[in-house]
Amino acid sequence: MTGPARRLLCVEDNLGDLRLLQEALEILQLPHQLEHVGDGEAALTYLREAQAGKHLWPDAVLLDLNLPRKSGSEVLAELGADPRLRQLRVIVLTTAARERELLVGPQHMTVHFLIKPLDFDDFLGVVETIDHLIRS
Amino acid sequence: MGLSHALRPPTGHARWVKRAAFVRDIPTHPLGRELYEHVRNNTAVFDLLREVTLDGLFYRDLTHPEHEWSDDRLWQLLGYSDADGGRYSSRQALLFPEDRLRAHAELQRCNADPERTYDCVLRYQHRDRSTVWVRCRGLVLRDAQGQPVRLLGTHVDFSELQRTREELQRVNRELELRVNDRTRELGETLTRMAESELAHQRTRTRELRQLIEGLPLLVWTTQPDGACDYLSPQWVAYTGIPESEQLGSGWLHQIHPEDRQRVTLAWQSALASVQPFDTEYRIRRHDGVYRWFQTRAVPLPAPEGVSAKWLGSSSDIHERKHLEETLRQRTAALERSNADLEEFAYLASHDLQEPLRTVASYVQLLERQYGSKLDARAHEYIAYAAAGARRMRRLVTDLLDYSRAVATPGELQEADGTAALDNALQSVAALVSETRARVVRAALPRLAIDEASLTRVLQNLLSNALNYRAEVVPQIVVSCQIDGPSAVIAVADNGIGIAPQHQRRIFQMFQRLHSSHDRPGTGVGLALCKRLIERADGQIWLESEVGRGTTFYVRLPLVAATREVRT
Repeated sequence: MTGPARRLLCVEDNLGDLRLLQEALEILQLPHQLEHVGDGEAALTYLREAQAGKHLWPDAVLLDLNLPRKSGSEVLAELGADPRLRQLRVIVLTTAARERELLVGPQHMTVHFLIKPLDFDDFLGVVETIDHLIRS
Repeated sequence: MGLSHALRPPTGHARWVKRAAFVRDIPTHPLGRELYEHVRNNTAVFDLLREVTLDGLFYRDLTHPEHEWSDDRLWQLLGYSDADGGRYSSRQALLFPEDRLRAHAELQRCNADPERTYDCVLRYQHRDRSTVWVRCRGLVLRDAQGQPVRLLGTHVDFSELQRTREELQRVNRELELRVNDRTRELGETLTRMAESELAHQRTRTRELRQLIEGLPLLVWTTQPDGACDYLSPQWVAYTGIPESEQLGSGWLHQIHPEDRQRVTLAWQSALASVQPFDTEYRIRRHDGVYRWFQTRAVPLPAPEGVSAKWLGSSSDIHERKHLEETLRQRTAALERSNADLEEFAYLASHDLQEPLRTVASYVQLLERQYGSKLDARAHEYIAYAAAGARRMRRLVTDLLDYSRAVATPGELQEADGTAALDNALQSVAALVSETRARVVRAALPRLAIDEASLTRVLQNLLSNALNYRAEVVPQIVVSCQIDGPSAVIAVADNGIGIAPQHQRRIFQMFQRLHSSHDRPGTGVGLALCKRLIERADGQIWLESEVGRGTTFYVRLPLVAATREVRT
């Protein structure tokens, strides 16, 4: 299961979920490096700073939709409006049955939508999918 | 007496005066001349003319008026034989006195005017006392000095003519009288009829007015231009303002200020188009309270070319209006709260999932990572936590399903009942084989509900039948009966049954009759079924006996019937 490590920016306000992701990566023995910010605004700040060379450029962004200060959808819209930021690989992780929200990213931008399952074993499957996406 | 003698002027005393009007020139025609010659020489011609064309002749000496000769025909006309008459005084005496005077006056005029022909109509008294009408024409003969000396008179009887004329006049008078009589009679009849009609009308009017004034209506009439000319006592009583102050357009002051302009415009439009007026507005009561009235006014029938008067009535609809408004508000509030509830259920169920996921995942993680290090008691704790999380998960998904079961209006729903039952049976197949249940099923018709909902309902009913089984082999019978435009599906089991006091409760949200340890379930299933069925204009109910089993009934409209109704 091992391969080249990727740098992931995880935008998540729920530390339990963050920890769950870390646990899953550990169980699956995936070497990816996680950077974490707790809300939408912090995510945009981090990415603009990364553009300016203050942080390493992430290989992918794991984005929760239900975020404080600035929602995941707003973050997506702002990323889509920026020619450089829209190049980012974004994986949206959302709770099941969010069907009322339009699961569509902005134009000129590739966004993957994955459902956070209730069951931990299912979650391991989701993390494997993420691994495939960021390696490709 | 010879003709020649008669026409010859009296020698010495009188001379024949030639007059244009009476004596013509001798005709130039030979026969005319011959006739004139005969007249001159032969008295027979004179006698013939006298007898055939005249009714009497007299010849009178104007110098001695008592001397007069008159012929037989004249006396015969008056009813006397030749022997009886012959005296001058007699003829004059038989004249009507006033005619004698007129005759004398005519003679005077002729004496004075040589050109004048004596001509007057005279009346004699016949011997039998009847009246003889005579036209008397004559000629005054003069002497050499122009003095009148003789009067030659002729009589023509026109009594017959006169009698006819009198008869005619009498008939005319009589006719006229009769016409007058008839006209008067007719007039009287008409007057009587009119009076009776008028009395009838007055009675009718009085009755109508009594009727109108007894109605729970405010009644009024207006002139064709809309000016009010009558307000019923009810109106006056309601507004507490004398009729006189409200006639014309005074009534408008009692209309609620917010309604006044609308009412004025509607009323003017009705007047202009002569179309019925029907408007709801508030009228001020004597105590200052405004109540809603429905006012209808119609133009009264009027003859062609005459502008119509208007009859209007206002009925108190305040209670109805009030109820309508209350109902509208309540409906809006209910719809709001219903929508709020759905939104709440959706958001709650959604937001509940996140912490639930955390709990469930960490419990799983705990068991996975530390399972080997924990004792039996710790495993028991973990099992309870995991079971609680599972149950919570089911509650949340059921709640989500329930909140999603929102009507999609306008869409014609159609379900293949048999296919829905197939799917429902498939989803409970594991439970069927586990419990060794016997299922008897019927074909179901096409129903006016979306197929997913019908599947969901059947699945719920089947799993209930299996889960609430008694200590015997479960038997489930699904049957269907067509009842007019709808079908009634029955799902009968031989399970534990439901006590009557619980039968209503089970359709309520989160209502469970058994602990989750004994029987699985969240208490949402039947509430969801009820919601789905009622959303499709159907009904769900049950019959049950404790220890014998339960039958759930679902009534749904048939597709064909629905189509018929909708097209």
